Amino acid sequence: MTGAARPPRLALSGLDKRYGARRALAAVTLELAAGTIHGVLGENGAGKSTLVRIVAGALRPDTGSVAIDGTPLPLGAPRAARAAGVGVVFQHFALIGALSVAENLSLGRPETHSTRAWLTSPARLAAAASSLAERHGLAIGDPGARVDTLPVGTRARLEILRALSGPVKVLLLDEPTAVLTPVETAELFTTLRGLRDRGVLVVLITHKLAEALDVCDRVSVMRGGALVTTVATRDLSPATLAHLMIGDAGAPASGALATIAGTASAATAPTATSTRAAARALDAATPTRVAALIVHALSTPGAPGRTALHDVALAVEAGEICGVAGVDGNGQDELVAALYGLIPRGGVARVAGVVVPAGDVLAAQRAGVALIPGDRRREGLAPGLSLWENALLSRPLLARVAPHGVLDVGAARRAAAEIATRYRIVHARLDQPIADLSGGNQQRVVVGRALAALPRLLVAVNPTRGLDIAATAQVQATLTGVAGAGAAVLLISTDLDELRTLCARLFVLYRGRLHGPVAPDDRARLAALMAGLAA
Amino acid sequence: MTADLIALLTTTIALATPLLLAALGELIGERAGILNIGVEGLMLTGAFAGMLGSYATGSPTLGMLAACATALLLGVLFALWVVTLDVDQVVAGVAINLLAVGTTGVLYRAFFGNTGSALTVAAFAPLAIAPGVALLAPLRQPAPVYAALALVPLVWVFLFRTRLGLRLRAAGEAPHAAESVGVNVVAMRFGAVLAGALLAGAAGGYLSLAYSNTFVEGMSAGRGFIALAIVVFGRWQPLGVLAGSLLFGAASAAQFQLQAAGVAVPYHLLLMLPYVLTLVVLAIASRAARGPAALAQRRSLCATAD
Repeated sequence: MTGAARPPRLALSGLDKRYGARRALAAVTLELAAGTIHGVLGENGAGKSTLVRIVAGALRPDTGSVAIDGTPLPLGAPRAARAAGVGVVFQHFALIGALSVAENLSLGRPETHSTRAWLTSPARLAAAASSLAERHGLAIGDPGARVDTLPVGTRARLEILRALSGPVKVLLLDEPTAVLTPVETAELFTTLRGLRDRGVLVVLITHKLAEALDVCDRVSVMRGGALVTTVATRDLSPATLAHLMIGDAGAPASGALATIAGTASAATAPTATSTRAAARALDAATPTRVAALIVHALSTPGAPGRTALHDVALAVEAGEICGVAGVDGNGQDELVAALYGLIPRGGVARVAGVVVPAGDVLAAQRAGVALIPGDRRREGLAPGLSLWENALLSRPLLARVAPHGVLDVGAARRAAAEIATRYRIVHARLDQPIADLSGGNQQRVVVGRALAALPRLLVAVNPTRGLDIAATAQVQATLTGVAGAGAAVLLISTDLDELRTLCARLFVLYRGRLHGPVAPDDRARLAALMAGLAA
Repeated sequence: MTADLIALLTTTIALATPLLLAALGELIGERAGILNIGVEGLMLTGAFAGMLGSYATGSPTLGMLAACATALLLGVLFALWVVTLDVDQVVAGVAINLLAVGTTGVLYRAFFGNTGSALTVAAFAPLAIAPGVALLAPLRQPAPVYAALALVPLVWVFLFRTRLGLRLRAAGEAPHAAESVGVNVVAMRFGAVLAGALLAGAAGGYLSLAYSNTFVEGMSAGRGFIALAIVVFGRWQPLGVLAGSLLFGAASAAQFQLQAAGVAVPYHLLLMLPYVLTLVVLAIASRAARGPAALAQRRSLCATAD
């Protein structure tokens, strides 16, 4: 055996990357052996994604080097990285929506002599796709289907399958389970273990502690762009790991809870005392036990790619967080769009007693509805605009800082700065493009903007998807605070744990119909409703 | 009546061919994500270079090669701008158009003076297909017409039945995603621009060497822009582009026929016909049309992950 002399499968040395003033990676050095599953944990903005992109060749570090089996990798060259055996599953899927499943898989496949044929055909691509899927035991459905028509779980499998299509030595997965169901996650882990046993180095980027402890042999913890420690998982308890991730100096999750709870109720309440006063004032204005949202016979038309809603009835009381559970694609998007006036609907919706006309976003906003959309990158933010512009990108907020249609830039920046401070948005400058912020901080902007309008009804869709522990705690505490201050919160989430933690009542959407209410701890009934087994 | 129809059909095919060549070229570029509004200028350059080549050698075939080669050179310049240097595609396209108008005008006057007398060169003759049969007159077209028609299935096979075509389409839909799976987006786009320029040059060569036998300043007459509209109308599909080219060819042909028939409408209005059709068709077709997702986006400004 030459084991002692063998170079590590993946060696990172002195990787450094700056974005302006922000140091995304600080002298990261790490050596990983073949045939292991290695977890990289850290909060949002800790540098995990930056690390992945550098190894994948999608990003060039300022200094440092990457080597595979002792051979240095040319930096910033995705093709060279692929050729060297790096497979990547990106956090935001790098699939091409307009192409079919088989076409996407074919793109990822390096050309070998047997596949170098110039001509191809849908049938040939489909056969290749199916055999690849079979080899790895991942179901992909119809290989001819356009990718943008597929549910997100299938896309995740597709992405993984594509990364596996070449001769993979190192497989990097950036938050692959963020959009998967527990069953899909378990299947994925089985696949990863199989790859490890075949000698592949699997690097799993995650912030889910349980997952890391479940599947990883060792984990590295990152904080603020630097590598904090690398430990074997068998020596770790979840508590220790959480402690390592959040650190002592950074604001711990419990602190975030204390600071953030209740802040959402008033626009000018920097101290806890005045926040509570504002909350009481709101309480007085809206007596408790009043239905803030009443929906009756709500329906939406069906369309390609849309689930029709049928006869949805729902009442949410002021001060309540009401949850809507369900597997993605059962009408969640449509319910939100109908309530917020984004699509036409039938039926009646009242917010605090006022009838909200259908298909009119402005009227919904005036009635006091605010939205935290599920896909912050697509529906929540304008990636090309700056932080302060995004923070105010809502009609009621813009009306405040542009009284006669002319933007008062000074006032706007002050208002944005206030949101940034209140929601602890880590940023370098108010002028910096929102796309430069980490996912957690982007979500803080979306949340802060929704709440700055002082909604009577807050509709939140998967508000903590893809967020780390601290950001999740902060967002959840914010929701609790909003409800505590007298607003109604409709929480639409695919994360059952989150719904159970926050909600007193749950409804379940299944194929466009709303079932319930269900007690959050009635797991059997919830599961039956979500699977469409009970009415 | 029959004679009118045969004449209409013959003219339609003759007028559709340059549109078809230019639009197929533009289609390849747009599928790779490059909007080349300089196609008008490339056509004009091709027409001029084609005439010059035929004038110098006496061979329309060599003239056509000159047309393609010159447009290709201009295509290299455009590709360097928009692919290598990642310059805004619309700005670069406008620059190509202005460059072409200026250069061909100056060079034409430099070579042939400002006499205004028509200069004629050797041109492609119509193929003698079934010479005696009046009904088959529309088939008696010069060779480039058949070459253009043959390109329709070839471009389709290339785009939709080859691995290269798949990579090219991926570059036009999601360049970053394509890059991350090993597609050389720069090479794809560079190649697509060159192919488009070549075909635009051929379209120009057709104008001066097959449709006519002379060069007139500004003789592309907006056909490059109509080709852009045809790509949208044809939903970025070769067959759609063929249909669009024939439609616009027919509109232009009808305009001549109506003029010749002495219809009591000012001829200026008739001349507007193909251009008005462009507006109407675009207004209707573009409502449902969905082009390549990354069309005309600069790579450095595309939304990136993280």
